[in-house]
Amino acid sequence: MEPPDHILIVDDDADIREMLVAYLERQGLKASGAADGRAMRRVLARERVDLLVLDLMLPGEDGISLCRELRAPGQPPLPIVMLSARADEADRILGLELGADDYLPKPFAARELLARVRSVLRRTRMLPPPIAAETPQPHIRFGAWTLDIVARHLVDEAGTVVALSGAEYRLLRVLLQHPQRILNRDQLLQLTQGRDADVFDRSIDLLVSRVRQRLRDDVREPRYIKTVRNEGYVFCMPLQTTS
Amino acid sequence: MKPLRTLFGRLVLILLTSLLLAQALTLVFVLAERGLVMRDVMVSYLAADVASSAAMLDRLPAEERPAWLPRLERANYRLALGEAVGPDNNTTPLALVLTSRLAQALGQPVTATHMPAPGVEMRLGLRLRDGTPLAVDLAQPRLRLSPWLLVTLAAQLALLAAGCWFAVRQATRPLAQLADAARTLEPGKPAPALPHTGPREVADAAHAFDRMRQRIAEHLEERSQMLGAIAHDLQTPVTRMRLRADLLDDATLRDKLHADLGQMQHLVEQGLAYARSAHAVQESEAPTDLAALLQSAVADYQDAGQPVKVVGWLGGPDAAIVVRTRPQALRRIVGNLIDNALKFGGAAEVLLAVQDGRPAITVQDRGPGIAADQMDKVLQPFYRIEASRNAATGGTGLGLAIVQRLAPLCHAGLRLSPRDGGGLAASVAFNDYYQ
Repeated sequence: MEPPDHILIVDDDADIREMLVAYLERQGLKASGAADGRAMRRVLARERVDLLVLDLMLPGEDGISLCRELRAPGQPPLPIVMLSARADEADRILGLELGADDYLPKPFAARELLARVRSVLRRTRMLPPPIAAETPQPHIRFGAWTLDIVARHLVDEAGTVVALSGAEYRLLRVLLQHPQRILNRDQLLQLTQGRDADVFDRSIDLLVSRVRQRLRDDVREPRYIKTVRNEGYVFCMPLQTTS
Repeated sequence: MKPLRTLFGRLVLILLTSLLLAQALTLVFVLAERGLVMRDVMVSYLAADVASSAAMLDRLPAEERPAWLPRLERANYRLALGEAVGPDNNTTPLALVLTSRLAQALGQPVTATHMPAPGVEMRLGLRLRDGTPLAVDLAQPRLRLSPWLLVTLAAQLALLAAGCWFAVRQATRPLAQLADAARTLEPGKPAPALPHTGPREVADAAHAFDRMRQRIAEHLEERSQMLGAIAHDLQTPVTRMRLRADLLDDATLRDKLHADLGQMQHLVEQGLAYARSAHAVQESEAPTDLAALLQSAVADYQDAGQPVKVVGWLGGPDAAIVVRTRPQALRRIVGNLIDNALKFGGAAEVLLAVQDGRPAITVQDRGPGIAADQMDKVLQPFYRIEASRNAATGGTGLGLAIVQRLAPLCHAGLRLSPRDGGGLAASVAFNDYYQ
């Protein structure tokens, strides 16, 4: 039997840390706790860790600097779920500075964390690592559009803001992270499953058509998202590598 | 009368009326004075004139006298020979002065008679040396105004009116500016500073107003910060409690605790959102596609399995309705209105339409609605309607307050109204219309 995934929880609040460890172990995972960056490095040096749950606010070195360290070039890929007491920091955590794989605002229920942990593990195993530029940028430009990562909306050439739903944004983000690469429906479904929505009962095809509508893309002759028969979808517009 | 309802109208009226009255009084005095002077001059000339005319007539043969009479006429009297002199019945001050001066100059008594004839003030009666009666018919004095006097008067009046208008405007304009500033006072929104120039009273008022504005902003900021701090510090204990509940074996107890904690958490989140709404002004404005914003907001709810649907589009779902606004704040507004509709009505219907020529987003529900006298109160933070609308739902009383705070920053206004057939319609109408 395959050994259970090992989750390392880095949080300075002993109560929260211990309860999370107890809960995750009860759910059949292996879990350990670390109170700060030093303890975290000790565990990482000693054992194999499959996923890191990292609190943003830590005494001494905070979650931001630890996350940067783990994301530095040459480090082995380690999925990170960030915990934060401030919901409005989500964008910094996910997109811009840190590149965490998911984030959970405090307060949260233990099963929410479990769901995130499972989905991040699943996702990182089934998808090839992103091939788009690794240094995160606040804006991604392609064709006539700019995707604003902070505000999570599109801006057209005239500067008009075109809003995106959560699922639409996630789909577009995944496509932009893997340009010129065919992604199948399963992969897309996993990646776009709402962080806030437990149920996702719409097909990927419907979601793709919604994103095409936002991009004002022609279904018969799409410029941005092409359908690959029996395989999936591919984002075919080259990204502009400007600042 | 309409103009009298304004301070401007009243002041102009008071000033103009009193100035006009004073002017009229002065005019009357001047005219009376001039009349007196003219009379004095007239009396002395008349006495000398009539005396010399009488002396001339004395020397002329009686048959030549009538031919000379017209030549001896003056503008203010004419002479008549041989007519009845009449009784001495005129005792006006003028008559007394005239008769005494004439009597002095002629050396004989002179009578003054009332004359009923038009244009004749009085008849002075005297006799030539040969005893022929000579009547002097004094014309009624005519008030002679030079035309330039009228012009001057009109010019003076115009000057007075202009001066009044200007002076009153000086006094009322700062008041209007102050009222404007108070009206547009929007916490968190930088307002144009009142000019601290002008008369000292005005500068003082502007200064006092600015300080009041600053104090209001400080109070609001303090309130937001306190709310934010409390909400923020509650998060760690709530997190611990949720985790403790997760570790409970008793499923019923666990679910109940989760429900309670969920409500607490909602309150914390809304408190933080309310505190943060003060900073929405920092989001920059951008032209925003309203249809896309609504579609994506509704899609989020539909993806989460919520009964939210779009029931109407302005010009079809593909038409781009673009307004200048703050898209993130607007998204929060729409989210709060939909949350409200879901909470109280169980389902939400979203509509993009034109009201009074401006695009408006409307979120409708079939809930219990809001009584007319509560419509304003529900916009205040933490206000809850006791009876129907809140019993089982446990709202925070912050959702609409947040919308109310964000709407002006989005260049829009919130309006709540009862929906036809029951329920509530919450509209966010934009102030300007692009494209």
